[in-house]
Amino acid sequence: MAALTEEHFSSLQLLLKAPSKDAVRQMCADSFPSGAAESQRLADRTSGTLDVSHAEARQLIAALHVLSRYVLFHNLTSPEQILAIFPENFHSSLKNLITKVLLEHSPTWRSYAIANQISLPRLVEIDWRVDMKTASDSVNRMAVPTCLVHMKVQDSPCVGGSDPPSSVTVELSRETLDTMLDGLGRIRDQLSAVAGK
Amino acid sequence: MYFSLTEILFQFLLEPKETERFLRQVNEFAGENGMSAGPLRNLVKSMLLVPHGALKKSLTAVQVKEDLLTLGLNEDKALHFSNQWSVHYPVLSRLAIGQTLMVNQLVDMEWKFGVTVGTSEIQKLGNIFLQLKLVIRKGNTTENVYMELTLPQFYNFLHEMERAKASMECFS
Repeated sequence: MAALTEEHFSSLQLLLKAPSKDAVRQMCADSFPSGAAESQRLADRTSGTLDVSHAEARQLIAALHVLSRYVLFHNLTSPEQILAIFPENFHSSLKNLITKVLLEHSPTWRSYAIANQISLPRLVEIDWRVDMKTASDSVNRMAVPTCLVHMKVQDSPCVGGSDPPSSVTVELSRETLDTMLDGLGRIRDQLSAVAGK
Repeated sequence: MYFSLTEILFQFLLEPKETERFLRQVNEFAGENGMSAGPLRNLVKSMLLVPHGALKKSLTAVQVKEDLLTLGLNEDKALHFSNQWSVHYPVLSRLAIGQTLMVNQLVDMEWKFGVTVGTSEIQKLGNIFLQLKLVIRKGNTTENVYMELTLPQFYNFLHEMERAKASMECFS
């Protein structure tokens, strides 16, 4: 993760040229996602809004990106913690505004980062059906219940996860379902024990 | 002699995968009793049709005995066979049901759960995750499916499986 430097903070002062507080808010939000620093369109828009050169716009976006990621990584949740990062001579009102905007966005950014972290394929949906087998080639008449479970799994979004979800359907006999519920029950008990600590 | 042949037959019915052992026992039987193995094997193959048909129709021991008498077997032998039938029937019928087609049968489930301590985006975290590995039989091979669940997803999964089980219990 890139470190916050003096250049970043001097780029941030370009925000003084912003037409409104909402513009600052918007620019902060737009600079957070991964591809923001490379985005041509964002740089164009920013340079238009602030009436600065393209290069300056890119530096500003990069600075906002590094700052927002820094706040997220270190989980800075109080104004004092964020204000402390800024250098002494930084414009006071701008500092307060940026701090406020960062605090506003933090919860959303945190959820987004958690939802997009690397993981095994995620279970997205589960459906089931219980059937009654009434006959087969080896037995003319029977009454055996069986369960079909359909699970939709999706690769984590950061692992080229624009793939459509894949699905798997499994058949469980009654014994298998009982055993599985046994196992799941044990997991639940252990989870409660951990949560209770 | 008839009794030991019946015993060989039932042994095979109870363990249908032991074909080599079955053939060996039939050959030995032929040797011990001065018969040629070939005709005996054919005979035994026809004899197997009786229990297979009886399983298919879920016949009781009494019905099996009647069928054997109709086929021309004498009283003693038919009685012996039907007695053996009632002794072994529970296991045999469970085997027959167990052979019923199952698609993508779940064979095994392994799991682990833990805590995510941090990521490259967030230095300190404390989220619980659960990872499941499902082993599924597809034809002759097995396939492993891996997935991860968050806590809410786990509780939902557990809830759905309990509902499925309740639904199954309704039918018994």
